[in-house]
Amino acid sequence: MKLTRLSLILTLSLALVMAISTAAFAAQAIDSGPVKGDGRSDYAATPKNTTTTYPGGIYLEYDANGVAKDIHSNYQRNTDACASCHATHTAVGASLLQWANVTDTCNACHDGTITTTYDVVYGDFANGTRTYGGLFGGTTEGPNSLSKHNVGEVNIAAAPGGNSAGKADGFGSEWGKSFECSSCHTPHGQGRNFRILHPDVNGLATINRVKGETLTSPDNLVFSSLKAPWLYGRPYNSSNFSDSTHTAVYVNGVKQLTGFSIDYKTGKVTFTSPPTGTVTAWYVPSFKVTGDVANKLTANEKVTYKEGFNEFCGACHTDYAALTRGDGKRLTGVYQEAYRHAFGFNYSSGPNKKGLVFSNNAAKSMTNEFTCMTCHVAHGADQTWWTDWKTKSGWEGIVSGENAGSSALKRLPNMATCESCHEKGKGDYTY
Amino acid sequence: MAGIIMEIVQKGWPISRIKKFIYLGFLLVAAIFTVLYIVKTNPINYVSDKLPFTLGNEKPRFLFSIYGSGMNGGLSKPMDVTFVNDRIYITDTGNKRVQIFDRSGNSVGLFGKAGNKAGEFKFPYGITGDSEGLIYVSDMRNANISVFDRAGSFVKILADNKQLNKPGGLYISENRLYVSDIAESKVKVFDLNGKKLLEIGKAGRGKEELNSPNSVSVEGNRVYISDSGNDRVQVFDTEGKYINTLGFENNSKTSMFVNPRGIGVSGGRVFVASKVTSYVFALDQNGQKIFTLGGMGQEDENLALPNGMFIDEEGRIYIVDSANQRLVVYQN
Ligand code: HEC
Ligand code: HEC
Ligand code: HEC
Ligand code: HEC
Ligand code: HEC
Ligand code: HEC
Repeated sequence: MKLTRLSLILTLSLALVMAISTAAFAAQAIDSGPVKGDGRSDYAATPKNTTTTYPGGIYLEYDANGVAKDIHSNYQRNTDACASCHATHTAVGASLLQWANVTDTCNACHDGTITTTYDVVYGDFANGTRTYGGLFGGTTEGPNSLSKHNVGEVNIAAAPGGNSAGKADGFGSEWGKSFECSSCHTPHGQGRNFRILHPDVNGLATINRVKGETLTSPDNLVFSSLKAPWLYGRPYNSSNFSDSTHTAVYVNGVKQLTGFSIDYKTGKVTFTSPPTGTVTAWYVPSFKVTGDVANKLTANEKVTYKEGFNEFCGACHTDYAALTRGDGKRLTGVYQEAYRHAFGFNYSSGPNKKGLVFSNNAAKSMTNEFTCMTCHVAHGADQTWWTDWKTKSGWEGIVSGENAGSSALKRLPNMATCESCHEKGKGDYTY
Repeated sequence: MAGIIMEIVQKGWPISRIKKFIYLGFLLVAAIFTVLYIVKTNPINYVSDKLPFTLGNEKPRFLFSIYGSGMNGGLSKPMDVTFVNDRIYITDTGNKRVQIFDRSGNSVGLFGKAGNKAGEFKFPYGITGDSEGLIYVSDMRNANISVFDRAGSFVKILADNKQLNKPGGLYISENRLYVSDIAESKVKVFDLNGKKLLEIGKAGRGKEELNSPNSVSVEGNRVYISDSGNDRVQVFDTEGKYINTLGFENNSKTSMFVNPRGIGVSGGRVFVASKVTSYVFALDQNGQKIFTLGGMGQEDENLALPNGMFIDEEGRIYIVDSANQRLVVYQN
């Protein structure tokens, strides 16, 4: 009797064990099948492609076609991805941005924790290759002195050579705003600039709004402007129209509300039936910065600067801008006058130019334009960066750090950016 | 069932009848699993969904936040957290150190400083503890894992840049240390002496492939890996065999996560921090969303770019709220 009971218990528990292991086995065997997704939710560099529209892209509708869609195609529209930078999901407008979080949001991916893109904190990418932009993180102490654009910590008005009063004026309209990654880059890629640089940096484009240009028509229906692309996102709203940032179309001086459409990318206005009379437009032409990135995100990445860099940096550092080209013999500057070095010229012959980078500006027929980028990096620099910087050949001797107060985002420490051309002494010479 | 057993025990059935009964039982079990297999239902999920200790739809309760000690300058870009030795350890990444708090959130110390020598940090990231109370910290930029005692004195380097490239999240289970190597896009498994036992995944975007995995968490036989650069979580078994993928609900084509980071498992729920959307998702075992915590903001129950996460044995959920520079604690 006892024995029967024992074997019974044994058999029952055996059955239980089997049941559990079958369950475990079945669990293993069940597979959710192929991984789902729309094919673009990885963070690999998006192939340059001018025809495909990636449904997950961050590009806005008006930019949907014909754009070299190579950036940020990993954002997803049907999630709350927009909310990380915009306060509400129902209506998105410039006023609803949560500015304070933009820089942190950028660095959720650009801090080295996503290795298929650039780490702007350490200034490199996956295989340790240095970025052209320099670095935001690094050693601040001693001669290794890091200097950087202090995003998230100051207002744009803090820019040396800018309007320290912080009020909008004829040179910029965002002086009073917080200085963020998005002051220089537009995450949506408006304007199709090099490195998604902002087409309205410090309100430069808004200030240069075209107030009534007569558009020419090839066929009575389509009227075009040469100053394309136009900036979008300024609602075409009659009640709000007096706002100085909006786009508007007039026929014989009468503002049109219906019967036409605008292609912001090409600056073309198409009417549904041919209008009689003169067509004029008020619009904001995008500010252009161009350049090329070859072998993107590989060890051989090579950046070529083209147009717009002096004006770009000069949008905030107004006094140093090319608009007031200095020549060392007269005073220049908007807010503060000083004798300033000439730049914006072509430097095709002369000494070595070691470690400096010139722009290939076809628009100005210059192959070696001397710009802000010649001596400065965009994000920041410290000793480790100088040690690694790839075009410093000839300056290999440079091992020391910076001896002045700030290393001023320079491509090379101390006087090296000057000695590259003037060759009065060793690059390491201090001030 | 109990009744039948009582009857058997009391009356003493003949062996043949018992045998018959057992065979019948076997048949029944086999039939049930065949059916479950055919309809592709995971029997474990099926059962665990029915069990009383799963928590239904009730949300965890917010307890408190830790902003770090004022004296020590608070937290700066914190990245990860663990609970061990009755202490909360947070990687205070921006300040290149680790801060220690008691269970109520009072500061009790800190350790580490900037540098690349043994015991120093450049980018302290993942943090975990073993059964002896030792603390393991990965450094994404120094490419190593350092071990500290419970008070924060440096003990040794467990694995260095020969074994690791960009170590991120850490997790210890059954004396095995799981490390997500962000640059190599795999999870490496070590014993606690630093000997590599196994690698899970490889770089890519297909099934079983990973892109910049930032975090790993183990529950029983399941290894949950946040496949951050592919916006999903992939689940493997402890021997590295693929089980399934989380993030895609009801055959949706796009994931509910954007840049997923910390993962925690508790009470039959899987919690995943979706960094860029600032939500923590709670999923059931089938990967269906039950509810979310957070949402971008600065209030108690908001989150701003949540990163690391840890759930302790009492169901406390520790979420590193990186852009709010704090740790938020919930009770599951
Ligand atoms: C969800 C992750 C993610 C976030 C958040 C993010 N980026 Fe990126 N970013 C990427 C990836 C991935 C790439 C490179 C792949 C590509 O080209 O799409 C990239 C590329 C870039 C580039 C290089 C563009 C080029 O022409 O090569 C810039 C500039 C940039 N990001 C700026 C920003 C800024 C500014 C923000 C914040 C407003 C931001 N990113 C937020 C993932 C992100
Ligand atoms: C990484 C941060 C970020 C994310 C994510 C983001 N935006 Fe933006 N968005 C911005 C910033 C910054 C601006 C302001 C750009 C400027 O100054 O012109 C902006 C501007 C806009 C504008 C106004 C465009 C204009 O020309 O002025 C719209 C519309 C918009 N965003 C929609 C969206 C939508 C829809 C999503 C989700 C798919 C989204 N945004 C996601 C940062 C973001
Ligand atoms: C002062 C303007 C400015 C600010 C502020 C700025 N950038 Fe840039 N960024 C640039 C310019 C100009 C380039 C092109 C640099 C080059 O090619 O030399 C660039 C390049 C980049 C690139 C391409 C890789 C590289 O470094 O060359 C990324 C990614 C990027 N920026 C992201 C960011 C993020 C994220 C932030 C905020 C943390 C930021 N930027 C802030 C101007 C800026
Ligand atoms: C959107 C406005 C803006 C633009 C565009 C901009 N800057 Fe700046 N820049 C600032 C501000 C604000 C500061 C000073 C505040 C700070 O960072 O501490 C600054 C500081 C500097 C400094 C001094 C840093 C130091 O520590 O001494 C240099 C050099 C500089 N910028 C160069 C550049 C160059 C080169 C460009 C073009 C690539 C550029 N800036 C574009 C806003 C801007
Ligand atoms: C010939 C190389 C060179 C060029 C070109 C150049 N800079 Fe500089 N810049 C320097 C050096 C060197 C310093 C540091 C000066 C010092 O320490 O007094 C500097 C300093 C600065 C500062 C910080 C000044 C301060 O008061 O702290 C700003 C801002 C700046 N440059 C902006 C620009 C802008 C904008 C351009 C383009 C319009 C530009 N630079 C072009 C070499 C250059
Ligand atoms: C790209 C090469 C180049 C670099 C780099 C450069 N210079 Fe010059 N420098 C020139 C040229 C060319 C001139 C003549 C300017 C002209 O034609 O107006 C000049 C003129 C000068 C003059 C004479 C003033 C005048 O306009 O007559 C001084 C002083 C000077 N540079 C100082 C510097 C300092 C300081 C630096 C570093 C911040 C520097 N230069 C960097 C090319 C360079």
